Formats: sequence, C-alpha cells, structure tokens
Amino acid sequence: MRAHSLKKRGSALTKKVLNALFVGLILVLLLAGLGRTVFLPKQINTYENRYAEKIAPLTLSGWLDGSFQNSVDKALSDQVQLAEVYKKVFNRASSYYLKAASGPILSRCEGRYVNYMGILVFNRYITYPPRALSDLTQPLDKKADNYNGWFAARPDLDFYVYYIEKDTDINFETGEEIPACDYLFDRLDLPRDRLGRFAVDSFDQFGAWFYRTDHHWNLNGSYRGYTQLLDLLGVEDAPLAPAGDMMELGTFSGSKAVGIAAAFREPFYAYRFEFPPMEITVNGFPGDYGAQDAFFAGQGGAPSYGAFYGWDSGEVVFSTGRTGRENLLVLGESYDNAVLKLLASHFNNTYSVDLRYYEAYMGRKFSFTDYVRENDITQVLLIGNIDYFLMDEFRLEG
Amino acid sequence: MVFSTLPFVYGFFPLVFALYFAWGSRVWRNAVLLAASLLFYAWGEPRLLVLMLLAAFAAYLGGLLMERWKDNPARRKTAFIATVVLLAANLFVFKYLNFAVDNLNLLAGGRLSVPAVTLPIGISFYTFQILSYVIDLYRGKVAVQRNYLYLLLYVSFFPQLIAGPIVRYQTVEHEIRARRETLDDAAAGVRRFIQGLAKKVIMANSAAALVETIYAGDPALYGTAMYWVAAVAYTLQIYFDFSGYSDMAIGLGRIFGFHFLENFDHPYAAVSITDFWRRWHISLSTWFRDYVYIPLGGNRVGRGRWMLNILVVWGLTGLWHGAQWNFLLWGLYYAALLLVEKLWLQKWLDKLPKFAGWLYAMFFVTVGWVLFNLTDFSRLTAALGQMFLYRPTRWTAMAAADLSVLYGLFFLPLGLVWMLPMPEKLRLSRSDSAWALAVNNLIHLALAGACVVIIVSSKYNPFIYFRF
Repeated sequence: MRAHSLKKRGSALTKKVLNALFVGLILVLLLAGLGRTVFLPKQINTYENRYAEKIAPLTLSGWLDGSFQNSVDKALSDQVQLAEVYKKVFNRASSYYLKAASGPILSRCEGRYVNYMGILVFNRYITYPPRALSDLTQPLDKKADNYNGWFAARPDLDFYVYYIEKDTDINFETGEEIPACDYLFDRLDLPRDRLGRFAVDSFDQFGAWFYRTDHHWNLNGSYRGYTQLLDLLGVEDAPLAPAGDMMELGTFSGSKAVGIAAAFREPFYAYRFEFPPMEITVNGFPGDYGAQDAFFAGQGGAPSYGAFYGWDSGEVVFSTGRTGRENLLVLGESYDNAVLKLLASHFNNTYSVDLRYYEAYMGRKFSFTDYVRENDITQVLLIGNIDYFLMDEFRLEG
Repeated sequence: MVFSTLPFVYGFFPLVFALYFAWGSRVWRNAVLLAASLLFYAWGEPRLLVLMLLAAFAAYLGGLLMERWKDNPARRKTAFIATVVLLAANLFVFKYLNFAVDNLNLLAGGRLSVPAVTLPIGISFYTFQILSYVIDLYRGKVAVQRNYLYLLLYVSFFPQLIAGPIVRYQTVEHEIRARRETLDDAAAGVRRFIQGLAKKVIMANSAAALVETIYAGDPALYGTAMYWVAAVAYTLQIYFDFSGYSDMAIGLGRIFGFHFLENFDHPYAAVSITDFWRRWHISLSTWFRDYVYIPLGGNRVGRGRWMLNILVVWGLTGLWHGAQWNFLLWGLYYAALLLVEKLWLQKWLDKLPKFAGWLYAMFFVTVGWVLFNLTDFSRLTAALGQMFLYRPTRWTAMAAADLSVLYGLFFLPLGLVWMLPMPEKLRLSRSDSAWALAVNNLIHLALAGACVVIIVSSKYNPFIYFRF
C-alpha cells in the first residue's frame, strides 16, 4: 500500500517536472526570439539577400495607422532565432512537394504556360510572362528621348544600340511577338545599321539560347550575341572561336528558381576561349573579371552565370594594348557580362559601366561627358534586354 | 491581434504569461489580464477600443440600476430594457445600419445616406457576452458586478474577445475573483493552444488557399468536380479555422485558471442536422436557445408559432454572422432543414444506418457552407450551378493555370481524417503514465515547431470568424 502510494507520488512529481520543462522550454524559446528582435536585431537577411526588418519607433500615429504593428510582425519574421532556416525549410518542402506532384502534369503541358507557385514554366523552362506593349510605350518614349538628346549632342561619337529579346518579348503559347524592340528603334535617331537585335522568334530559339532556370542567355546565346555585336560595331576581325567542345562545369539553379527554393536545377555548360593578353581592373582594382580559367581548372566552385563570366560591377576596364584599335564604352547590364571579355579582345580599351552600381563602387556619380573625355571613348554601345531600356537607372546623365 | 501571428506567439503571449505569474495577488493578476486584454484589442482596433469600454460601462451601469431597483419591478424592467436596447442599438448601428439603409433605398427607391461605418472587430461576440450578463442578472441567475474593471475583464478577456467562444458571465463569475492556476492546467492549456494553432496554420490556411484558387480561377477550367472540392475544402477550412481558434481560446483561458465551456464537439461526425447544431458553435446556438428561442415560447406553443420561432431564431443566427443576404439565407436554410427533420425526417433517419445519416448531414452542411462563403449572389448562383449542373473539369489546363491547387489537395485527406473523433485507444491524454505525458509533450513541441516554421515563412493567414 505504502509502496503504491510512493510510486504514485513519484509519478506525479515526474509529471510535474515534465510539464514544467514543457512550458518552461516554450516560454524561454519565445522570449529569446522576442529579446533578439528587440535588443539584438541583425542587419541583413542573408537568405533573402536584403536588409533585415526591424521594429519601427513607437509613435501614436504609427500605432493608429497600424504601421508599428506591421513592423513588429515583419521584424519578428526576420529576427527570431532560426528564422532563415525556417524559411529555407518551408520553401524547400513546398517546392519539392510541388515538383514531385506536378511532374506528370508538367509533362502533359507541353506548349502551355504552367503557373508554378507564382512563376511560369513553359516546356520545363522557367519563363517570365510576355509583356504588353501598352505598358511599355511610355517608359520607352522617355528612354528614346534621353538617348536622342545625346545622339544629337555628341555627333563625334559612334553610338550603337543592341536590344536583347527574351521570353518577355514573345508569347510562346500563341507565337505572338511583342514589338517593343521595333517600337524603340522607330523612335531612335540612329541609322538602322547602328541598331542591332538579338531576335527570339520562337520557343525553340529561346530554348537554344537561354538557360532553363536563369534569366540570362547561355553559352550559345551569348556567343551568338557576340558575333552579332562584332558585325554591328564594324569589327572586321574574325570572332574568337571556342577552343574545343562545350564543357559541363557542374549544375546550378539560376535566378528564376530562387523563389521556388532551387527546386529546378540544370547543367552549366561553357566554352573555353583563348583570350589575348589583357589587363583588367574591376571597380578600380586590378584582377580578372569572372573566373573562367579557374572553372576550367576545376577550382571555380559552384558554377553560375555571375561566378563564371563575372558579377555585376560599377566599372570593368579591359586593356589589350592594341593602340591602333578603338576605345569602346559598353553601357549595359548583366547580359553583357558574358560577352565583355570576347568583345574586349577586338578593341584597345573596353570600358564596361553598369549605371546601377557605378556610384556605389566608384564613389562618384557617373558623368557621360567626363567619362568619354577622360577615357578617349570613340564608340558607345548601349546594350540590354527590355528592362534596360525601361528603367530610369539606365538613363544617360551628365 | 490574432493568435496565429508572430506578435502574439513571440511577443504578447510569453510577456503576459511571465508578467501574470510574476504576481502573487489575485488583484494584480487580474490587472495584468485586463491591461493585456485592452492592449490586445487596441493592437488591431485602437480607435474603436472606446466603443467596447462604453458598451461594458452601459452594462455595468444598467446592472447597478437593476440591483438598486430590485424591489421595484417596473423600474428594474425599465433599466433592463433600456440597457438591452442600448447594446442592441450599438450592434445594429455598427453592424447592420449600412445594410439596412442600402436595402431600404433599394426597396423604396430612396436616397437615404449614412456614413460608412467600420465594423469593430469582435463586436458580435462581446455584445452577446455583455447581453448574457445583463439578461442573467435580470433573471437573477448571477449577482451584480459592482467592480467595473472586473466586468470589463469579463467582456474584454483576450482569449475569447474577438472570435469567441461566447463565454457567459455565469461561467466565469466565480473564477474572476477566485480561481486556482496550476502547472498542470498551464501545460494542458499550452497543449490545447498548440492544437488549435496547428488546426489553423496547417489545415485551415491550406484549405483556404485551395478554396481561393478555385473560386478565383476561370470557371471554364474548374468543372463540377472541382467546385465540390472547393465546397469540401471550405467545409474543412471553416471548421479548422473556428474550432482551432476556440481551442486556442480555451487553452489560453485554462493557462490563467479559467475554464470555458467547449464550443465544438466533432460537428462533422453528426448524423443529422439537429445533431450538427448540437456540436457546432455550441456557445452561439445555446445563446440563441436560452435568450431568444425559449423566451419566444420555444416548442411549448402551437405548431405555427413554433415554426415561426424556429424561423426567427435561425434568421437571427444567420444575420449574426454578417449583414449580408447570404447569411440570412444560410440561417433560413438551416431553419428549413431543422423543421423538415423535426416534423418528418428524423424518424426515418433513426431507422437508417448511421453512415447514411452522416452522409445526409455532411451533404447539406457542405452545401450550406457554400451559401455562407459566397456573399456575392452572382458568384453564389454560379458556384451552385457548377456543383449541380454537370460540367467537365479541364484537368490539365486547370493544373497549368495554377499548380498550387495540388498543394491544397495534399492537405484535404489529412483534414478529412482530422475532422473526425480520434479513436479512444489512440488518445495519449487518456493515459495516466508519465511516459505518455512525455510523448504527448514532445508531439506538441514538434507541432508547435511546425506551426512556427509556417507562420514565419508564409504570408497567407486569414481568420474567418475574426470579421464577426
């Protein structure tokens, strides 16, 4: 009887301890999350590659309009312990579930856009939706006015425009092409032979020239672009030829797959080229642009468009020392990263400027007039996809 | 503030828990709960907090007057009626005035205009709670509360403030002044909260996304089969949403020593509509039974009057959910079903196997939720048309239009199992051993972890009963 009673009391005590541990552990974890958010917030959300949200200062108006409460919600979502791991796990789980579940459906949806967690997949390529011309005309008009002003002001310079069509310029389901490039070219005061287009007229072409998971052109697309650019710029040299067949450098998951936790992957192929000797400075510092040699030597790490060809930079300068050749200024965005070294092989000095990053990396505003004068520029190439010709960041100023 | 959000889970709950148990005295503990409850309401509705304070004050004053005139029935009745009318008028103005004026204008071709009124969060719940105090006080079932702050604590107590259950003053009258908090109760409360949270963020949100995808999609793609899937998904959504909220409320109350009555009893295991309403939103149906149906005479009147009573009660039940015609229709739909059952069908149902009764009940409940869900009549009739006039589903095109429909479909079978009562043998909470408790706690920790992962990572988190 006594033994039974003792056993019962022991069990009751064990249960009390278990319950205390249970409640205590939950409370400590929750308070730790709150403490971190309030007192030791981190600066960067590395998973989403942005500044981490923090709690806004408490004000009456902020409370009444709800902005303070929203800031607390967002801050906790970024700041609590393991928040980034939670997001990674959640995104991976939902993406992989959907990928597994949707396999049979994707194979039955050839020739049709499939909405996959908010992104479009067409024949297993992640694509951006085609744009409507009506949404584009106003910004294109603005950009054309900006360029035309410079064309008129600097007749001493040879300007070239190269428009890279991609998935946004054509509806793959219907085959309807979005005439954004024609619209822009009709408004530019340049002779037709100064205007070049990387034309994508069908899904087959898009599939041959672009990655499945990344928004950039692949090795074949960029090489095709390079040869077209030589023609456009009046370079009489033969293009550099690949030294051998394309090589697989590993697999990667490009920018378009980021939102679905890299559920799609693809092989990364590249050509090797024998570039002529050239001195390179990136954002004012000497060094190589990209890591093509390192990748072919098996030391490049995980391949990606940026890691292989070179990341977006404020300014990259290539000097071949061929003083009899022209000095080229390339004003572009990430699409030109893949062709810069190839193009530079045919010029004396090649200057690549990305107007989004120039000031941040170089510590001064970009002045077109000063830059051209200081670097003795003779040819100016404006190159990019539709977004380049839409965004105000790429306006030519100064 | 909503329970399934990060500010509640990571901020409000642990802080209130810690502050509450830091005090030893009942008075200070109640002060912590009252301050927390007002903050809880002001988090989402700072401007209309004063309305709740005034409504509680009106009941407090009315209560004092009824007590003062307890020997003068006429005056006591006047104070009672005045208080009830004031509270009902408050609810009418903020919830039904715009609806009433719009329909009057439509009927009479008038141009009467009133300013658009914001619906205060939880007004239906707290008004009904206050009314229960006033009516029970008038009937002599509860004693007058002479401390306004205690009455306010009853009205504003955050676990049940904005989405129920409708706790009667009678239930917590004693516990406001004298209650006993225990570690075992706190642990049981936390476990119950986690169960409710899991119902909400794992099941209800997944079902909600599926419902939205189908109803927002191209009707030419989603045929009869998918419209039935949407109806079943909404049936699951509203159950897991609302019963999850009630679980969280009951769990939170228990942590702080309050014992609320159950609000759900596996309603989707019901074998008739009458049975369903004994199990669904029990605090609302019993409120209408005790404060409307029985005072109207209940079933102790002639058949015609009894049928009228049923229609009135269920019409009001429908309108309680919102100032929309579809809610009234939904209420009257149940009135009709209950009348048919009581007058004729029930005796046949009793002879049939339970499974047949369950199928019958679930069919009408599911159709009823379609009436409830779609407030726009053109969408409602279109949805019912899709459900009852066969149209093929274009499966491939439908999936291509939005593959996330597959994500919701994954959770449907889980919900269909979860909605039914768990076999007794599988209930860990029934075992008295420490091992069972350890396993139970571990399961709840894992469930809490899964919920936190989802809340931190996903953005979609609507609460249906929040709007009532």
